[in-house]
Amino acid sequence: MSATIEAADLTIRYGKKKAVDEVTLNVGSGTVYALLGRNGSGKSSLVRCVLGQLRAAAGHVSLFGEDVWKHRARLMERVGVVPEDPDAPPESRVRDLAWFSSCIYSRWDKIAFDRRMQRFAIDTASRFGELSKGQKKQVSLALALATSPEILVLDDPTLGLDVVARKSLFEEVLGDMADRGITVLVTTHDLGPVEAIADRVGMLDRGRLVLDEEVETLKARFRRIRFANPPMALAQANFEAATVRQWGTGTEAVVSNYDDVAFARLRNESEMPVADVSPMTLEEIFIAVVGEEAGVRS
Amino acid sequence: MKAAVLIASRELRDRSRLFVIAAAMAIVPFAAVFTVRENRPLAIATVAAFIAAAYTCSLALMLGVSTVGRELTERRLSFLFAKPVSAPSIWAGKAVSALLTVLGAGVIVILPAYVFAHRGWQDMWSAGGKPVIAYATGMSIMLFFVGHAVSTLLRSRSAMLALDFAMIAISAITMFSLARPLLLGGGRDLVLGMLAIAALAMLLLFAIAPAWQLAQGRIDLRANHRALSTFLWSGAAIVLIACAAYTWWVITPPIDSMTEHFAVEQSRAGDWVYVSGQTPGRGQYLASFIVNTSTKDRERIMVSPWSRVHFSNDGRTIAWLEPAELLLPRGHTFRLYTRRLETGAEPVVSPLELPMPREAALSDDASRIAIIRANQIQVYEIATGNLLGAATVTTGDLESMIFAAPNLVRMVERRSPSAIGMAEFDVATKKFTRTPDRPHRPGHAAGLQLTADGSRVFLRREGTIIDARTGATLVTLPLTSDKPFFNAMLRDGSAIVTRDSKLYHFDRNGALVAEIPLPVQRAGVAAQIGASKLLLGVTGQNPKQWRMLIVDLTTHKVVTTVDQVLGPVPSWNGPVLREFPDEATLIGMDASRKLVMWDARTGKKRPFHS
Repeated sequence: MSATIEAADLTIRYGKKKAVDEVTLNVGSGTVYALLGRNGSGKSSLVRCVLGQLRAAAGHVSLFGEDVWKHRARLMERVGVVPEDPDAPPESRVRDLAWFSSCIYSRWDKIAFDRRMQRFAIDTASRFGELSKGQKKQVSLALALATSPEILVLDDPTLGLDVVARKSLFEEVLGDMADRGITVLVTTHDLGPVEAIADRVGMLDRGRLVLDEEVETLKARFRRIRFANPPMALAQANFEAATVRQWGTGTEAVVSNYDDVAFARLRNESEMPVADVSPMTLEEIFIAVVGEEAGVRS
Repeated sequence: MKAAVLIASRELRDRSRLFVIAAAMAIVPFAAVFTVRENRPLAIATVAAFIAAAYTCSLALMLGVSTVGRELTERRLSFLFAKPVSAPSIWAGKAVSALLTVLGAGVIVILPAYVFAHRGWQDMWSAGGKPVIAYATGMSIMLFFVGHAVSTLLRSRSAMLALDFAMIAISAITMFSLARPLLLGGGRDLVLGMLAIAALAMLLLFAIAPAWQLAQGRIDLRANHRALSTFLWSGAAIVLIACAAYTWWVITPPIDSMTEHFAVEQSRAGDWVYVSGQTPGRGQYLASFIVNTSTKDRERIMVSPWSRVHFSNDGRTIAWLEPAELLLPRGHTFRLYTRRLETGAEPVVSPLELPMPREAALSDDASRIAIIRANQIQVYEIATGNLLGAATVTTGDLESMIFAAPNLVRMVERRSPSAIGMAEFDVATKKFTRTPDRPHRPGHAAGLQLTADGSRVFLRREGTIIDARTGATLVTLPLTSDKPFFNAMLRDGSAIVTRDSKLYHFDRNGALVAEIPLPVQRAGVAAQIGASKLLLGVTGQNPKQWRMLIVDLTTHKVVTTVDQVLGPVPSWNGPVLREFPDEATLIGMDASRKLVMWDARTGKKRPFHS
């Protein structure tokens, strides 16, 4: 699978501060890539750089194999963007925004846009600035999807939205993906819905990409283990603990290289009174990797 | 291009409210109907023009400040950068829409008044109203572009702002420094032209810089600032370099390209000549040179055309004045420059600031200057600016002032319209003395002549020579005013009168020594040559009548005649008749108004620029 989005040794600076530090990532064609990170971890900066809106201090980014900083205008024909903060001109009416996009994009899908507006129950005569936050996001998404993009970039698309709006937004994305199999780069704090659609996940922590992996692989190797004894035995089994904390009178550990065979052997050899071994959600893994108690990351 | 049109079109739609406001403003001028009784159409047109000008200018500034700057600050520019639209298209679309908004709003304000008070517009045009509209349009365009740039710089709140202010200061100082030599040379027209072209170039830079700014900065406000500053200051540097090259070209014309001669002065020793004049393509700028006629060394000096160039009596120094305030070149204070007449010598500026040059005199070696300031005569050492002596002088306008000796300054005062008087100041004793008033017909300073030592004053119109210390009449020449005459007092106090085709030489006591026939009518005395010769000149409207004569007062003969040459002409720079050595090479102008050098002994001519 060829890389549609490719970042190599990417560093972004704001003055002396490094927002993104030597990040390398590849997003293959048709992949849904979830870029996760805490506030200020550098997600939005990375996305802006991927869109050719921000210049990297070092490294480079390419879309479809072309340098995005040099060929941004041409490449954006194939990219749909839903920004973190709705950025359309507040004075513009929705229909004017649609007209503007229809004139600029050669693959503008007017029918799809109109249908979505009907489905979202948004009056296209409304001025963008008069819409609610959820409606703005919906209009942004409809505008992005109507361009028939090959890459869809969603920068924290559900930020500030209620549960219903979040669900509606992701359903739209899922629907479009099902139709066309587009490549999606999404940054979000809303990990539940993303877990269902993401093929691959990257985690940024203070500008560094600390994890970049297929979701299924990730979920397979992370386990929460709760047991009564102190955790010395984990090391004997070569388990790497991402977090270790007291759990009642026992211990709870998140291991990042779980293996059923190794664990069975450990249990037999150490006669460890295991209370529980449970799989983890993406959100739990995220907390273990970049949360306050994070230790070993991968 | 298409994207730019689309962006402009969308933004124009978004700004429809501004046109509604303009339409509301268009009604306001018609209120003049209720307040003005006479020529109501003119009142309506005038008010409409004023409102349109004010509205378009303020709108242009507002749009300039907000068009890109506000979107950058509010992080809304990503809307366009996430689309297949180039940065130049974004700027072109925004700029065109903003300018169309401004101009369209102006037209909307004016249109009803133009239609319904057409006669008023015609009256206003004829009263000079057209430039107001043109200025308002130009000002609106300028305000939009400059407003955008200033807004971008200020909004970034970057430390680079200090660098921008430094660059503004450096650019202004550089421009002033470039304009200075042109202004000093009288090239005010060139400065205005240069400033206009530089301003247009800068406006062009301000217009296209944002395209570069957006291409390099995109949605990052500080990167936008950085890119804009880099472009603007690089462009400004190119403009300044071009201006510097132009200034250099103007102030360094070759001397042989001089076509119009503004001033030609020759030093007493005869070796050095000061020449100033205009050269092709350099407008009113006057180039100035000093030329050594013996060695043919020629050096450019910066002298204002309104300055007075003066060769010291010892022939070793040239001095001139420049206005202390460049922006007020006809102001009342001047700086004194002196330059030794030696090849490669540098001009030296005195720390003194002087009043009007008419009220100043240089000592023979140009080491001292006497000035009249605030009812005081003050004598300074030029090099240091030290005051050597001062005394209160009584009221009266100064006619002439001269250093009779290094420590003695003599003056001729105009004490009333019909009286003059002599005065002297002894620098060593600080003593100031005056003679009683003496009747004298009102006249110009040129009517007076002094001997080089200042001991005698020749009242040329009366033909009277008086003692400069006492004011007593020494000699009265037998002149009648029935025919025109020229006269002059020589170094030894003897006097010359020319009338018709005769030259009369009177000794220092007024006795006629010789009557010498001249081959010309109406010859004026230009200078004394050596110990006993006299240089005479015949002027006239027709250059072919010009003629210079050298008369030997010993042999009573005309020894040299040079036809179709005029010069050296009498200096208007001092009250003392000039003197040149016998072997001097003299400077004049030939019939084609080109400078020529001619030998005082042989009369042989050769081109000045040879």
